[in-house]
Amino acid sequence: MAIREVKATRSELMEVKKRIKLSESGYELLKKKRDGLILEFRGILERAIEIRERMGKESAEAEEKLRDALCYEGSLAIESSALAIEDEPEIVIRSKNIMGVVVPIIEATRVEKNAHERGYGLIGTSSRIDEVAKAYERLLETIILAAEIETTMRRLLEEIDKTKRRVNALEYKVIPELKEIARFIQFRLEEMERENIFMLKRIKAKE
Amino acid sequence: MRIGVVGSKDFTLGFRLAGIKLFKEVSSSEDMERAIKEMMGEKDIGILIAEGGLAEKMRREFREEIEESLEPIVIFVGGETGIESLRERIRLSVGVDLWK
Repeated sequence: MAIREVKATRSELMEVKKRIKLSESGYELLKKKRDGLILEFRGILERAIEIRERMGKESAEAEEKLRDALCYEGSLAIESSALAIEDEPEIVIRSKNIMGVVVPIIEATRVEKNAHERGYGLIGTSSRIDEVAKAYERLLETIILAAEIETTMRRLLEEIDKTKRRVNALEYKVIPELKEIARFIQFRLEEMERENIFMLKRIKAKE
Repeated sequence: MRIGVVGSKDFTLGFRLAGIKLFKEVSSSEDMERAIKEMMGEKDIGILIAEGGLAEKMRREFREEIEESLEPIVIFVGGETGIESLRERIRLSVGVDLWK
């Protein structure tokens, strides 16, 4: 609302004052929400860092095992074992609500399997291949966890950004403007009062 | 939903042993970009795993764009890539680089 369009009346002043009060309480609430979100975020961040570290370690381990197996068994044997695996891991993405932010929960099925569940024959393949498969299954679990938590973080960050923008808009734009308007009306009303008194005095003097 | 893998021959082979059927073998970062684009068009894909070592050489803008993707969620495994954009976002939103 531009200051020029304001009608300097008492009711308008009351209206503006009411809006200031509303904005201020909204501002307080949003600030609390922002702080809450950041708190939530910090907890998740810790877990995310931990999971990333674990993922790095597990992927290095899995790669090493795979290299070993490639040396001993040859790529053909491993390739054929891979082809024999029937059960594809599946994920289901559901959603959860953290302080009004919709975040995903990823559930995985059929990731870690027993040796006999994998589908390739036990005879004819070595335990090294089992080891590699196990290592990669574990890595996959961690990756799924990382996917969930990192997406959660991105969503939370978006919400933090939005809330921060609103808080700042209220603090630096909306509330100061409203206060400015209230002051303007106040001055205007006082000015009118003085004019009135002056006029009355002049009328009295003429009598 | 399914999980997809894009990476070098050995990289994908490992994940195939874990049962993944949706994969693309690539040998260069240009190939990788193309493969990732194709994978992202795939329906019913929930998570896309990409090899971090190869991804490092991809164009930065493209990498950041796919890191932000939520459908599917793209995760880089191996190498240092994958968390740059997230780190940057944290720095922008919270004000400090908390990722340490």
